[in-house]
Order: sequence, then structure tokens, then C-alpha cells
Amino acid sequence: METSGKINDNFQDLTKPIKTVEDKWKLLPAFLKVKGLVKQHIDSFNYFINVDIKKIMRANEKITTDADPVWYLKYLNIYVGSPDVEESFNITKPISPHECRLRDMTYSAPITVDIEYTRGKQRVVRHNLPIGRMPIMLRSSNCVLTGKSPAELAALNECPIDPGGYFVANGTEKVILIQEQLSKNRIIVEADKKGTIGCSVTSSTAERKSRTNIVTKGNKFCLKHNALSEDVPVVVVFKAMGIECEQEIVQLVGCEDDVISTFAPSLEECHKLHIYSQLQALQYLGSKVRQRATWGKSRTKVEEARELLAGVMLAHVPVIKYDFKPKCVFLALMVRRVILACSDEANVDDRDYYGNKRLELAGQLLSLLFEDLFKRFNNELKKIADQTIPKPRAAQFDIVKHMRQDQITNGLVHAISSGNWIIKRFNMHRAGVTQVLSRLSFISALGMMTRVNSQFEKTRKVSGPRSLQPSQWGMLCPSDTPEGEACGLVKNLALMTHITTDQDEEPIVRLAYNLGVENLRLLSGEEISHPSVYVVFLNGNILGVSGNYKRLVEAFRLMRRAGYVNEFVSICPNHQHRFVNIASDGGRVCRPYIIVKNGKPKVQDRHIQELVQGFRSFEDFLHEGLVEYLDVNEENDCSVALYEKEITRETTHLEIEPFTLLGVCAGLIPYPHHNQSPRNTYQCAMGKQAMGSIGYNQRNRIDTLLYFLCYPQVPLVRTKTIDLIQFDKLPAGQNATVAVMSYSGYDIEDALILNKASLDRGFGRCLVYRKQNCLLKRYANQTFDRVMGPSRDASTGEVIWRHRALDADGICAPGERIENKQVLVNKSMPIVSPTGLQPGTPGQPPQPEYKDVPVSYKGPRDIYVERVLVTSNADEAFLIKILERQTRRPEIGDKFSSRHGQKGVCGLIVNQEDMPFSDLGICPDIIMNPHGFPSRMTVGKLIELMAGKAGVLHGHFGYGTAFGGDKVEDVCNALVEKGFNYVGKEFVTSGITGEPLTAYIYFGPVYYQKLKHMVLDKMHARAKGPRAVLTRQPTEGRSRDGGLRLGEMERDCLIAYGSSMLLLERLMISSDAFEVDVPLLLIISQYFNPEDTLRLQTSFPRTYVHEHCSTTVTQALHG
Amino acid sequence: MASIEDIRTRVTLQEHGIINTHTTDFPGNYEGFDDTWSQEKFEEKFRIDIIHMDKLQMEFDMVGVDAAIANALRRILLAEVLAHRLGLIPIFADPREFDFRSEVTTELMKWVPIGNQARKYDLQDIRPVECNILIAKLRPGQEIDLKMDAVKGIGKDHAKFSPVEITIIKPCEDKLADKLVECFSDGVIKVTEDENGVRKAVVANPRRDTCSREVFRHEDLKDRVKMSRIRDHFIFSVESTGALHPDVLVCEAIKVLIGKCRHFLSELDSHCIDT
Repeated sequence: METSGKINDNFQDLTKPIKTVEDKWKLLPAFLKVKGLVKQHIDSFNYFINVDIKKIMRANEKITTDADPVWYLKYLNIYVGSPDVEESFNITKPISPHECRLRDMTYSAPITVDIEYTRGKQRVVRHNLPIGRMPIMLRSSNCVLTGKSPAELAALNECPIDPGGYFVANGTEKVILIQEQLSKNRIIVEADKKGTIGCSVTSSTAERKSRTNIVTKGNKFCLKHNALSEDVPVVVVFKAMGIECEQEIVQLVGCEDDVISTFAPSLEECHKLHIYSQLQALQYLGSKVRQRATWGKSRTKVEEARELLAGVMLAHVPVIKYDFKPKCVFLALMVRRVILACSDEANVDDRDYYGNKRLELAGQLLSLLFEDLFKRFNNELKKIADQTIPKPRAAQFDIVKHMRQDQITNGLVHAISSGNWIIKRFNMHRAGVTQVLSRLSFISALGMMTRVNSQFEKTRKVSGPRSLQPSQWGMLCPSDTPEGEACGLVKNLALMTHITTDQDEEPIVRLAYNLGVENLRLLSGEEISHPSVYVVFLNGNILGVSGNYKRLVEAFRLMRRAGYVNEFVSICPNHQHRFVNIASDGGRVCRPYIIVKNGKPKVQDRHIQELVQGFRSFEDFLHEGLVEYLDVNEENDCSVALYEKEITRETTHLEIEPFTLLGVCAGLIPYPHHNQSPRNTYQCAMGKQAMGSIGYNQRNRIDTLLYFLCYPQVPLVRTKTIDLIQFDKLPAGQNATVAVMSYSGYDIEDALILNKASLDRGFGRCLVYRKQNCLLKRYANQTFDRVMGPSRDASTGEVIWRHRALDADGICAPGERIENKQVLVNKSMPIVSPTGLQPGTPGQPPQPEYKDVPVSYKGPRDIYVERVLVTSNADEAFLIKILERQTRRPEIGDKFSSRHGQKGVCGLIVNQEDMPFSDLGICPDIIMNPHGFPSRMTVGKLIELMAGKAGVLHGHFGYGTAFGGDKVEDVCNALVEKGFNYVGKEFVTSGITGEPLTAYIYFGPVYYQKLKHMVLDKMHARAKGPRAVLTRQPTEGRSRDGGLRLGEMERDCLIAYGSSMLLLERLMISSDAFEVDVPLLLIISQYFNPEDTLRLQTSFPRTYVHEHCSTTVTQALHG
Repeated sequence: MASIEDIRTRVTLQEHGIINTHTTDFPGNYEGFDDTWSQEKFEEKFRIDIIHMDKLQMEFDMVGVDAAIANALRRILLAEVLAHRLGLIPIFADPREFDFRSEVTTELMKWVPIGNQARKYDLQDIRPVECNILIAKLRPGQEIDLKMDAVKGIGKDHAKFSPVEITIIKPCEDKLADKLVECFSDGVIKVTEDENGVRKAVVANPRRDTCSREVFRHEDLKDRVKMSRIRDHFIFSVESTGALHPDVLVCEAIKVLIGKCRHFLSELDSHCIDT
């Protein structure tokens, strides 16, 4: 009894009151659940439509024209409304995402602006002018689903568990994948292929992106920039920025002996160039500036050089009124970092370090795109104003009449639906930014929302960016990455990862100065590079220096915990380079930790109890300074204890729960810490292919392809992650009783033996839904597609076989069984004839001729019509969607997998009476070959079986949470208690002979997933069939009923074997052999005219014309 | 080494495996044993003890037959005895209808007789086996209106025609040592005290053992216990789905078996003539 009690404690529901100290942080992940699993996407989008879009508007608020100095247009405000659809002119109604999905529309909201402009002499203010439509992310602040109860969501045909975070563009669900990038505006020192050290900064501001490099050339340092045609010595750049005195330059770079000696040749070079003054330097630089097509006033070389230094080079460092001081300090620091790195390898930065990465989310990407479109929109208006104002006209020029909505709308929708992100002002062209949300299972959709795509090219053979970086701990899932070319480049967020959005810098700057940071402008060079001070950076910009960095950091953190600074602002010292980095930029990954003070975690039982009782929310923990977010950089300055028992005096933070270091997909695996690591990776990939339920609204959806499992079950062995992501509500798999033994020879190579009776009772049975689309178009010449009723046989009057499923309206009836080649919609379209419409009988309008273009079913097995949707799309065209259903029971060759990367196909289906049975008369559903275990080392599966068995016997779920879960010993004792063997092996009798088997069999329930790969979709064979028009060779691929290629290697086999006739037949006769009829004339002519023969042979390549043929040539063999 | 007697009559359960699983009683296999099959010997040894029987369940011992015969009976029970099922709901007989309610159970299924069935059976006679099987849960506004055809079949075609839920063969006996009670299921081992006051463990009810082999985990007990099963003693436990009483099922199964044997014999005869 004691053991069962112990286990019961482990199975305790998360919502039960907390008794032990140990339980106290287990509720925090449950609290993150309240924030949603795709919070990062939604937060980022919310920030964009509520804050960032206004900033963009303010940055581009005024349009003026050269034609009229009085005319202007000024944006006063910009809003994104809530999603609606235009029913008829100027009448809109709110729309739900599901309606958009069904009607192939875009879920978008109008973007409206308040403007002030001049019309003639008047100043006019207009409110709520639409300028375009913004696709709205589901569950974002402007989405109709936000804040709705499950019942209200159900009324909107929406699943309450669906996380949102995606868009509906033209009826398809699109996710903007998280993009990983190297962080902007930070100095990165690295060695190139040849081992020379360089330093680079990618500056990014709203207007400009530029990359500035410091490179070593011999022993000199040069500045390299795209806008410069050639590398220029840095000292010249310093001089051009107004630091003419070399002493000052050296002081800025550093006064240590070795630094001076390394830097000396660079100074010398400047002398050799005879550049002493700022003007000389600017002239020198001006001659190197790459010429660009310039509009407007032409500038001198010196001016150009100065503009370059002020605005392009290191663009993120602000230059106010040509005060180059901050930029000089920054540049000097870059040089210094290179010099230091030359002498000490440790000073070279690691670009794979996750603190140097920023994740770009939907909001950031959309804001880049929107700003581009908004600028283009404004340019267009300006162009119109430029052109129209000078012209004399009757009506006053009113710019509002020229504001067209479609440019912004189409730009946004097109980018989202195609995934091509083109941003003109940055010369950015990225493909594959968005992907169609995979709705194979709930997990695959969730997995997609947490996916992180790296910008790194897949072809480069460097292991660095692909390997697991220690700094990714807790932020990215160590298991969930695809195999093959994208391995390590596509990553997944861990369960508790949060991605920051941009924060206002102004208050942070003020706070930093108040905390004793000395302003840069007040200091001389040596004071900045002095070893006793730490340089303080804010988002890559130098703020100043601090003499007492410890106090600064501590005070800053104190302020943050007290809520005076945003919780996502991070601060951390870097002792190597003597920096203090304050970061408030967006795209940093961070996760919450419990704060530990004086060896005691700040979160106490009391707090957790209040949390359980609902008096406290996760936000309260943050506001009271019990919990805080740490980003990767700040984590480096902390000592985090994994468990409470590991807390020492130095510990600053405590991990909330270790299993949160895994992501959503890896979180499904029971006992992953007992598995060989690649197995977990395989399961992460396979979990996304498992069939199951995809959402509560799955029966209302009409998707191109949907798979449902008929009777999905909650896994007997659960994990805490499963509870958190509500996988138990939308499971993808079934608990199968597995016997680990050999049976017949049909179980080799991971094949599984299935029990026929289990299949009869519904194991692995699935529904496959497919959509057929039919759009009835109207054409420009007033003709349109039509749907006709079923055709009848002329003699019998019966409906012809192909039309048997059709209703009188020409559309198939729901519930009808459809065979191969039968018609679903009897559509016909007008023939485009050169004469236009055919003249009909006089007095009647001419009737167009029609051609049948039926929508028909093609497939090996019959289907049923589940439902038919007749609606109209956004262009008011008729849209008919037909949902076809097929019920499939498992057959030989269907793929199954457990949750441990152990996939296998069904090798044999055995009658129940032939299956072995245990003493209790239990027959296994699946027999698995034991050879699957030794090399795979999936011990987690063995434990899952035991825990599942114990759970079944005791009537509760087992828990196999990573780094925790039910202990094997407890599970074993629970088995013994119910009279089962301690190690889970059973006395089994053969169903065939009735005699006992000589071995005890490992026997119990394991959660099995049915994967989407089924034989029915793959089976393919062909004898004769279609050929390609061009080559007359058999077509390729199953979908085109293609032939099976006898490839090079197969050919080699046949050559080696020596079967020449078979070769001849395969390669010649069964391939593109072809008979031609050739007119006699031609053959005669070849005797006299060799050119004709040549022509004949070129027009029929590889065709021989035989002389002896009399009237026609029918021989057409090759070489 | 185990004695020949042991090898002949016992299936021995060891810590890591089972030995002597195969039937060896064919003539001349063991020196000194005559294992030729004879009607008298069989009649003398063969018996069926019914341990327990009610409407749905039945447990009986079959002693003195070969594993193959016992297994044949089991297989026939599972796969070849006729039964009626509707979907996966075991029923008494023919088509019926639903009304709607929030919970649709088998109680709502009504039999509509066809042809002369109405004369042969009472309305109450033909119904689902259980009246409280939940078929579906309905939400407001939903309804099910459905006619079903009951089809007669056997388990071989589809598992839902299987009339039996569990069939077990289990010959069992234990040999023991002291202080074992804990290692076995309740009631398997009894502790007795002899006149000298020495406590002794005795197998009281081997039938109740679940074969957990817990003894083998204790080093001190491991070698003092021998677990084995009697080769020709089978415990059948037949659980009917309700349409027929389990004893009727067994009788049916035996009839099928007899029929099969007859068929086989006649086949043999006919082929003998051919050659």
C-alpha cells in the first residue's frame, strides 16, 4: 500500500494544493500556459500593430511636393481596425477566421489614418481614411477571437485549444517562421579563412542597413565598407572625423604598450599618404567613395565623404550636427578589439554564441515590409501631387481621391501568401519566410509555431552554426531539429522561451546616467580606454563609462526587479572586454528564473498556494521580484541552480523546472532522459507526422488534405508537457498492448505484427479527407462557367455511370459513394473561339459553345462525399468545395511508430486466435521484434511500457516527465502488488500450438502513433501508360502514372549479368520506340538528295529509314 | 536434473525462462513409459471440473488432454462460434431504432422484426445484451436516426462476432519452501504448524497464483522453490458477451470441433479410396 501511495503522489494533478516544498515551482510552467505557447508571435504582432506602426507613420509623416510649396499632407495618426469583409459598397461586416478559411479569403483589417492636408488654400483634417488592409494574426489584440470564452469560440467555429499566431491569407493558414540572425549594431571580432583577424558591425536603423569592417592589411588597419571602392586606412577615417591629433587617436585606441606598437604602422601609413588635416582626409575619402546615381543637388567630394561618415558608416551611432565624437570612440573601440584579438585568441568572438543572435518575428518582418510599402505609397502620392498640381484643372486638387488601397493590401497579402519578402530600401530579398501551417496533427501545428529558421545557407559545409551551442541551454530544444541538410539550422524554441520586443531606450539612458555612468562627451580618449573603467553599451551604442560597474549592474537589476525598468531589459558585465552591456532591443531570447537571495529562493510555499488559489498571477511574481527573465547574455553573469538542493551561497537563480529545456515536440516523449539522444530527435520529426485530432473544429474544416485518427487516445504514460500543451485533449495515437517477441518472419527490420481483432475494434483506423475545388468564373466577354445536371443515356434514359453521384444541380450529393473517374462537379466552360460567340437562332442572343471540364475523382479506392460547400470568394466568384472522405483500416505496409523514434511498418496481420496470449488471456495488439532495442538503446520505451502497465493496473496515468517522472522501482513494485512480474515479463502461451513459450515475454501498453505514410497513397505499378510528348518516353512519377525507371545502376547489373536481350527490351523497345510513316517520295528523294535524308533524321532523331521499304517506312529502332 | 516424470508431466518455470514446454507423450519417447494413446486411459484420466458458472462467466478445468486439443477448443470459442453483434455492441438479435437523448445507450435500440420473426420471437426476446452501453453523447440540437441490420457471423470474419471475451488455459501447481506467503498472491501459500511447532508453508490454492515469479527475486528463496505447471491440466475461463450462456458456448465449440474432426475423417476416407 505504501508504494501505491507514493505513486499516487507523483500522479497528483497539477491543480491540487501543494504540500511539499518540492512542488512549489511546478506551477510556474502551468502559468506560462496561461500566456500561451505562441506568445512570442502574438506579442510581436501586437507590438507592431499597436506601437511600431505609429512609429513608422511618425517617421514618414509628411509629404510635400516641389510643385507647390504650400501643399502638404501630414499623417496625424494610424490605426489597425478589426477584421471585416466588405459585403457591398461601403457596407462591412465582421468576419471570423473560419469563414476566411472556407471562402478562400484573407483575414485582414483595414488600416486607417487621420490626415491633415491642404486642398487649395484650405487646410483639411480627415479622419479614418483607409489606406490598405493588414492581415491579422489570429489571437492577436485585433483578432475577433481574443478574449472569447470556449463557447463563443465554438460559435465562431474555432478550436479553443488552437494557439493562433498565424495568418489566413487567401484561405490558407500561413505562419511567418521565426528568423534567426546575427544581432545588429554589435561588434563581432572574428578570424577569416586565412586566419587574419577582422572586426565587423552591421548597423541597422530604420532607413539604412550597412556593414562596416575593420580589416588588417599586413600590419596596418583599414576600414572596409560597401560605399567605399577600396579599403581606407583607419587613421585617415579618424582624421576625417575631426581627430587630427595622433595622440588623441592613440589614446582612444588604448595606451598599453603592445597596443601602441601594433597600431604604430597604421599611423605611419597616414603620414606616407601625406594626410594631416581633416580636409585632406575628407578629400582622400571622397576620392574613394563609390559613385552612385545621385538625385537632387550634386555635392562635392568632401561633402560626400562627410555624409558617408555621418550617415552611412556605422549608421547606428548617432551623429548630431557633425559631432563625430561617439563615432570616433566606437571606431577606436573596434580597432582596439582587433588589436587585442591579434595577440590573444580568447578575444575573438564566437558568432554562434546565442547571445549574439536575434530572432526576427512576424511583427518585425511585417514592420519592415509595411514601412517599405508605406514609403512607396507616399512616394506615389508625392508623384501624383508633382504631376497634377502644375496642371490647370477645374476641381481643386484633392489628394484623398488618389489614395489607393490596393498597393499596401496586395503587398502585404502577397508577401504572406508567397513567402517572398522583398524590401527595396535594404535590397533585401528573402524567400520562404512564410510556410503553410501544417495541420497534420495538433503537434505539427504547434511545432511549426515554435520553429526557428536560420538565415545561414544550407550548402555551406561548416559545422559551427549547426552544432548545439551551450548557450542555447533552456532557450532552444536540444532534440528538435530535422535530419539532413537543415540539421541544426532549423531549431525549435524550448517550452518557456520568450522573445523580447523593442523597448524604449530613453528611460534606460536616463537611468544609466543617474546610476553614475559618465557621458562620453565629457571624457577624453584615455579616460575611455583606461583599464579601471568599464564602457557601458546600450544596444550596441556607447553610453559612457562606469567606474564602479558592480554597483551599476546591481542597482540596475534592483530597479528592474522593482518594476522601474521593463522586465525584459537585460544588463550584464563582460569582464574580458570590460564592458557593461545593457540590451533593450527586440528579438533576444529569454526565459524566467526564480530569484535566489542569500541561498534561499524567493518563491515560497505561500506564494504558490496563493497562485493555486488564484490570488496571484505570473505577472505578480514578476512585479514582486520573485521571478525574473534572463536573456542569454545575462545568464552568463548568473549562477543558476538546477534543483533546490544545489543552491549554494553564490547561487543567484533557481531553475523553475528542468524539463522546460525541451520543446513542445520533445516534451511528448516519456522518459526522454533514458533514451539515446538521436532517438528523441527522430521522435520530434515523427511526432509531426502522427495522425490524430487537429482541433475541436476539425469536422468543420475543408482542407486540401486532412488525416484524423478514428479513436485517438490519451497516452497512458503522460508528461507534464503533455498536460501543459493540452496534448491530452487533442491526442495523436493509441495505447497498444505490445509483446516484445519474435513472431513469424514478417517482423524483421522493425516490421510490426498487428492483431486482426484489434484492427476490427478500431486500432489505427483513420479518416482521410481530401478537398476538390471548383471555381465558376465569369469572363470578360460576358460568358461564364456553368454547371449542368447529370447526362442521361439517350436510349435508356438512365443517368450515365460517370454522373451517377450527381444531384440535379450537377454537384455531387453528400454521402454518395464515388468510384474512380466518376464526376463530382459537372462543370463546363465556354470555348474561346476566334470569332467570339457563335451566332444562335435569330432573335436570341448568341450562345457560346461549351466544353466539359468536369471535376472528377481519381484514385484506387472509392471515396464518399462528406460535404459540399457552395459559397463565393472575395472576387464574388462561385466557389464549390467538395470534401471527400475515405476510411482506412491499417493494412500491411502502413507505418507506425512509438514515441521513441522507433518506427516500423506493419509486416503481417494475424488473427486473434493465432496471437500469443498471457495468463490473463490478453492478446497483444502489436508484436514488436526485440532486435529493435539493443542498437537503438531506447530504454525510455521499456520504462514507458512498465509505467503504462502499472498505470493500467492501478487505474491512473503514469508520468514520464523528462528528468523526473515515476521511478522505475516504484513502478515495478506497483506491478508486483497486482500480482505481476517485477520486470514486466509474462508467462505467455502460443496461440498456434497452445503450448507455453520458452521465454517470458515483455508485455504491456505502449503509446503508438500512426504515421501519415500509408501504402494506399504510395502503391504504384504500370505496364503501359502515358508518355511524355517531347521525348516519347514514359512519364515520371506516381501522380502521372509514370513508369519505373531502369536506372544506371540497374543497367550496370544487367550488363554485368549479360542479359543483352533484356537490356535491349528495357532500354529500347519498352522506352521510346516509335513508328513513323514516311511518304515514298521522301525515300526516293533520299537517293538523289542526301540533304533530305539528313533533314529526315534530324526531325526524327534516332530514326533509321530503311532502303528496302516500298511504300512506308515502319522501322524505327535506335542505334 | 529433473526426473523424467517431471519432464513428462510438468512445465517448469525458472527464473529466466520456461523449460519442457513441449508435449512429449508420444510412444517410445521415454524408456519405461508407454505413452500410446488409448481410449481407456484417456477416459480414466480425462475430466472436466466446473469451478464456477453464471450467466456471463464460467470457469472450468479440463484435465488429461493434450495442449493442442485444449487450444483447438479455445480457438474455436474465439473465432468460430456463431454470435450476433451490432457494430461492436453485443446484441441478442435484429434491427432496431434510436430516439435521441443526451446520452444514447443501447437501451434505446428497438427491434423491428422482419418476415416471420415476429411470430417466432417476443419483442423483449431480441435486444442488446446490455441496456446501458453508451453509444454516443449528443449535444443539444443533434440527433441520431438510424436503422441497423444485425448480421450473423463468426469471429474469423470480424472481431465483433467473437462471442467470448476471455479464454484462458492455465495449468498450475507450486512446490515451495518456507516464508513464501508474501511472494505469492493472496491465498496461494498457507503457513501451517506441525506438532513440533515448526512453521511450514504449504501450497493452499495454486489456482490463485498469477505467475509473478516474485520468489525468484529473493536470493534465499530462489533455490528452495520450484514452480511448475501440470502439462495436461487446463483452466478455461469463458466469458460470454451475453447472447448465449457460456456453457452453451462451450458445447457449441465442442460441437464445432467434433464436426471438424468428422469432416477431417471423411476427407481422409475419401482420399484413401482415391489412392
